[in-house]
Amino acid sequence: MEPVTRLSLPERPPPLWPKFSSPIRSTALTARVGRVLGIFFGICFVTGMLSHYQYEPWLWLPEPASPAWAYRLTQGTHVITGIAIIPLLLIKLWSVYPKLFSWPPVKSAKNGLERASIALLVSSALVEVTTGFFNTLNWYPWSWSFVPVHRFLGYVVIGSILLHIAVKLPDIKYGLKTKLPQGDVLTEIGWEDNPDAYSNNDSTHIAPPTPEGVSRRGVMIAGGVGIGAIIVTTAGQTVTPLADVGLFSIRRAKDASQLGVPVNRTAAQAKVLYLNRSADWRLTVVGKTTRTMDLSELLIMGDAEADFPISCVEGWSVGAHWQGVKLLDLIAMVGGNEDSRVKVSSIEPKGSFNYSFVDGPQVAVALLATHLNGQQLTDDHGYPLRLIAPGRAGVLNTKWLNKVEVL
Amino acid sequence: MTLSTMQWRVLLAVLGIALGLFGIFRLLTQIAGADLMLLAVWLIGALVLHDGLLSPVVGGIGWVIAHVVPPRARRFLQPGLIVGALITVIALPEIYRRNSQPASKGILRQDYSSNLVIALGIVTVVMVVAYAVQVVRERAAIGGGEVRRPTPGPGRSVASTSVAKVPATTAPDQRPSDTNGRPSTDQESSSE
Repeated sequence: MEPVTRLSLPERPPPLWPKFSSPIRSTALTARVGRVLGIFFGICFVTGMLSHYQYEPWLWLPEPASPAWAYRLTQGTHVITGIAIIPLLLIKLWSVYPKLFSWPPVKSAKNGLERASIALLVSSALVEVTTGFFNTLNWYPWSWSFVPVHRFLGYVVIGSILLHIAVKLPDIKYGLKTKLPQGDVLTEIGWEDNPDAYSNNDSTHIAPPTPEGVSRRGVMIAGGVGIGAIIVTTAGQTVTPLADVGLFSIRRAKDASQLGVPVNRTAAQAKVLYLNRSADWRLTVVGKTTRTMDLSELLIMGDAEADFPISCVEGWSVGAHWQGVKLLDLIAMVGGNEDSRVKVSSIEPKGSFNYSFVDGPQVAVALLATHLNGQQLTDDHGYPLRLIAPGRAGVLNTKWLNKVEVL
Repeated sequence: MTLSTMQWRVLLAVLGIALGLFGIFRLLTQIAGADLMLLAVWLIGALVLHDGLLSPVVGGIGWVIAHVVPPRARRFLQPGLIVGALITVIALPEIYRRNSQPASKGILRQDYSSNLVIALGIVTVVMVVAYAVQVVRERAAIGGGEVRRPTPGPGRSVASTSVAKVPATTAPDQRPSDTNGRPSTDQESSSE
């Protein structure tokens, strides 16, 4: 069991240094788990960046207006895969835990860099998925602003994954082409230094001992069942047919206390209560001219209807029926048209999302809604007037509007 | 044109380093100093908690199970624990955050403690039944005088002798082909 490598550090680790011998761990197992994990992280990165793009789209590449369920799909996928990554990552890290104790801790400058990059990968991945999950629970036990840190840390995670794949590509190839029961035994001693690792994948290869307890395939199946159970029981917050088995679903449409649709930010949280019910409330529409309208005028004018899902960045979504005034009809009164860029603003005094922009194809289909699912909006849903447009992140469907500007 | 393995590795590494540095640069330039310090605490804390606390606890539980529970039962207990533990990881924060937000948000309104009990109960029942079926089958096979290998448990584990630290010189004895036809060794336990 002695390392073959002989450097200036002590050859043997200290007496109580951990030793790992379970034949369950194998590069063959790690490579298989890692492949799924890498795909999931890739999906999460792409869907996450699509979501961030909603916040500041380039003027020449506006958000599409159809399909209406586009954001529901991408962000639902983002959160489903993100939650699934938590158990996947734990299994992956379990499978390579012995490597933490390789001796000597740093063999060379190159080895030191590799270990540092793995430390960055592990810590950034753990923090990214943990804080992402906490965000869906509306739990913020930290001081930083969630969105930018989640976004920039996402680059660190995906970058260190790509670097990790580059470094480990020979091991990954070996692991994937080796049959699961035949693969090496992964211990704290690298297979190249360890005759007990059973890693010589050639004609003289000796199969490793079969685990007495659960087999490698058993671990894969159990992990898959666990992850599958988590997906099935949490995805109901956006995959409606799974709502009934949503034991761990964070939101359910049937738990929504108002109009059958959950809310992400209440009127009280936005500090708009009473402001939105004020007799002085008017909608100001600014373009080449300026129009001011009260709610009764808007209700008379509002004969448009649409079925747009409301899809939250936090991963829940629900289909809904909206009634109100077409944004296009409003801005037409002040000289706007479907090529206009429109800013809608809320009476919400403070907040990062008390305004939003409507561009491109969304201008023609967006509604300023007064009614949701057949009833007038409640305070928490944005009374008296809110924006709703298809394929748009929930947080950008600004509520409690009092101003529409043609830019 | 197809890239060689080394070209792929260089390409992936350059792309990875570029993306990672971009993320770090944006963090350093866009996030306030005090928040960055706390983020650093989180990053280091995640390593410490995972590598220094969670993993040793999981490893310790596994070690105890390997030394206390017979192999046949272990082949059902371990998968059950894996499934149950993974579900629990997701459920615990939900239990903690339950009903923490205004009712109209419709968030975390379920009784997640009861739901966790239900989920773990299902896992337990499934594994206990599977284990009982296995025991009955093996007894029937012995009672009927049939000479055949016991049906493997979940996965395709085949009972064999040793788990740990088999010296390489004895390894040929562990080849799967040599284990064929052996009687069940459920009564044996790991010597290590």
